[in-house]
Amino acid sequence: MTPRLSGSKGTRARAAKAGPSAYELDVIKLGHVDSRQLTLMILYLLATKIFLMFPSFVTLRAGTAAWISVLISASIAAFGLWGWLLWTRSTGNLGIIPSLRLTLGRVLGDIAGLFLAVYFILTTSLSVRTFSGGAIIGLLQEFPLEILIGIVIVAAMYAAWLGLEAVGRAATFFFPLIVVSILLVALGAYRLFDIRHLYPLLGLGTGVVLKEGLTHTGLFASLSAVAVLKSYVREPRDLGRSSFKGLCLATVFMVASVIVVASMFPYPENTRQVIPLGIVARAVYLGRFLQRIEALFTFTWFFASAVHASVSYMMTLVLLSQLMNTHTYRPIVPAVASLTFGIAANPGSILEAGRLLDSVHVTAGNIEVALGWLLFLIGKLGNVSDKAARVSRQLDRLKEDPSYSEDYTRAKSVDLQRRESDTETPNQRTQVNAETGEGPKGINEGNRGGGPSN
Amino acid sequence: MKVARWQEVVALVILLALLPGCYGRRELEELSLVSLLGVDKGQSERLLVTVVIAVPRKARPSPGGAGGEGGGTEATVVLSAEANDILGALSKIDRISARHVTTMHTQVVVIGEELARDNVAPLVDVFSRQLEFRHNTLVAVAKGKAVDFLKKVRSIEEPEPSSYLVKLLINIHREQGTVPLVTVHEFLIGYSTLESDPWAPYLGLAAPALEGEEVKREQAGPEKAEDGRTDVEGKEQGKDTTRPSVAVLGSAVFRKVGDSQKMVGTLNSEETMATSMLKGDFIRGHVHVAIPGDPQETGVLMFHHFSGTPKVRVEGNRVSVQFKIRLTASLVETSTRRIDVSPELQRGLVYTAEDQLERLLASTFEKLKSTGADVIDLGMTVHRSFRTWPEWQAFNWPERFRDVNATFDVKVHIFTSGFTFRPPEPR
Repeated sequence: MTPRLSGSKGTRARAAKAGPSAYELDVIKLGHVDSRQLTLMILYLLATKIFLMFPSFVTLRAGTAAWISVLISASIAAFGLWGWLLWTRSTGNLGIIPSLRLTLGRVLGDIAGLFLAVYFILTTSLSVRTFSGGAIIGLLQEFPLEILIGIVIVAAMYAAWLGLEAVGRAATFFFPLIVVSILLVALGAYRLFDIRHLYPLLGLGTGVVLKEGLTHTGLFASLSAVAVLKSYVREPRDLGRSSFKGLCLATVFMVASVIVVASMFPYPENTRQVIPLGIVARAVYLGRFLQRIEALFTFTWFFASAVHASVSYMMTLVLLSQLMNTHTYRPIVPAVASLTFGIAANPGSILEAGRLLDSVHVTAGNIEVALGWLLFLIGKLGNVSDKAARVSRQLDRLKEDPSYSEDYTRAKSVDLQRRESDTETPNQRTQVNAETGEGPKGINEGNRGGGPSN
Repeated sequence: MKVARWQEVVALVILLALLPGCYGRRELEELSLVSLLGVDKGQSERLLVTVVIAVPRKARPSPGGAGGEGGGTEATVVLSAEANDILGALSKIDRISARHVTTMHTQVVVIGEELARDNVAPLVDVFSRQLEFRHNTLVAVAKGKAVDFLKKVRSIEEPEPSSYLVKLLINIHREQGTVPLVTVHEFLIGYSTLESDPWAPYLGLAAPALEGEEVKREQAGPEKAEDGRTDVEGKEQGKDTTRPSVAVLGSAVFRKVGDSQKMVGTLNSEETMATSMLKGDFIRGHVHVAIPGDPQETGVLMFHHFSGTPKVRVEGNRVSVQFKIRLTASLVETSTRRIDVSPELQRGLVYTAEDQLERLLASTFEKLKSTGADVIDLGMTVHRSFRTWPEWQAFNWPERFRDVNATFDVKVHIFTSGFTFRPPEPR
């Protein structure tokens, strides 16, 4: 399907003959994130759930060995991440949706892209709902839930509106604050810490722990973000290292949160807690003048949740804009915000939201982790890497054109002008075909809206 | 899209109006701060809840500043109500209080003995569920009714009874080890885990002062309250109101019986100290030991450092435990005039102290076994021998605890006998 271009019927017909332009092939411009920002964005996507019900739920299922089951899930997720990285590498510097289309074909590729977008929308909405519910239980009992959900969504959406670089900078800025406050809470509650509470070591049994680790690999499902972000990484070579670093850091935080909660609230007491880390913060007492430090923790909680939501929004917006070939995501922002607000406000209670979020992790999350390898294997069979390389070369060539612009509006007008003038110099299309070895139909099918950002 | 400056300003004003977090705020002067909360078994309803409300503007020390019977001190108001649950009773109290009654600053929750012996379940849920109740609130059991106890808690040293009670408990726990310091968090863990049982300080009212101790109050005239009413509650001219009113009796131990968690016994001060040692959270304290060669006379050994670890062996259903107790001590006083500090005397003292402590620990452990209450968290150590939770559950620790075979390896190191070799001699 050729993108709809403005102009008269005659102009569009001439443009169709002219072949794909850089404007059509290029991905939406969002700026770049460096390796550190990528690591932290993955960390937020994966580990913010420690502030929610994650420690309770995982302990409920695996008992005192919950931390082992998280380690098992992380190991499987690392394998899944490897699959995503292999597939990402095989599709060169194309965007995620063009890569999916190239790998699975137009229809299945779009369905897979939509699946990822829906996953991010659901996890964002339900995380926001759970966070807001927790804040109301633990801090603002009379505050209307809908307003709190709205505040988190507006804050997160504003960062997403400003773009990927703003989200990356927010992630970097808040990270030390969040780590320091988590450490303060954990150290402040040291008197409650008793390592004996982690026994019996194998929890509810080896089989149960293994099964739990396997079935809840989806807790790490947002790893598909590496495929979304690959077009925006300043140093694409660092993609693998940064994303593994993010996964490792997230695992450390998640395992530590489970251990801290389990060692302060022995099993099964810890399975009762709705927001276990919040309760730990409330239990901190360092004398008359140093108590109630949950006030500090709440800020941390808010920052982490808002950054998590904004990163997650960014993923959703990139996916949707590439799916719709809009080359801009801002018109979608209000719609996505309304959608997430609607989904977030829907669950009747925090518990319902938490359970739904858990179901999303277990079902869609597990599929998402496995999807990387599936895509890589299909791509291998379909020789996707060669096709992607040809498309990339074509885009690189188009970018060398002096009229090429990263600015969306200008690129679009230049594209139109070029198409007008192409009716006078029709040999360009022939050149493209000679270079890629494919007709325009094949390129359009595989690459519309894709390509590198650099 | 460029955002105009005026749009930024409007957005900022709206955010400033929305985000200060004042929604649902309550001003301090609109609140009645409950500093002590008492819970008893009710007569017409399930619970009798008593609150001691701090009156900060009156919380300044005054000569003979304590109140008397029935009303707490000048700095407090004591109110009670019956209901089926704690929040129900608090809302009833709210209806007669000029301000909203809040438990956000409750220091100690005092459980009446009758309720404690029946079932403490009605008490614990709200502390882990409701925002205004906190896990670091201390727990204590009052001999008799909590309402009677709370009405009489007073000390001239501290104008606010909760402050007195908290300091008293912390002080005795740290300096003598004869009372446990238990927060709601710790109580809840004992309450809801298989491998430990809860305990709490056991408090009573001190015996009335002897006649010779009576202190006449110079300013016993009733003070005028701010609203013009006379604050006469609890003031009786000539009565000794300077004497602290609380007696720390030891500790109350709980365990699960049927579906209820109930108080199943008490430990006296010495037994409480021994239990703290077995539990491993003893800080310091002292014992009186017989002087070797002169058993009629005693010496006071002050413990400075403590270490206690249980070594557990599980064979089938049998559990053996050896408690390894290590203490450093100094001889700080003797009642005899006939001793001369020597290595032999030191060795004799060590032997006597170790023997005495061993007997105390053994008898305390036997008492705990007889009540079936594992307040020393021995289960926490025993369950390390099990690989999985189902295995541990099947072991049925609450029943096995009664059959635990315990030995005690006590070592006391007396490293000083004070400034002198001999007591002063009258000449």
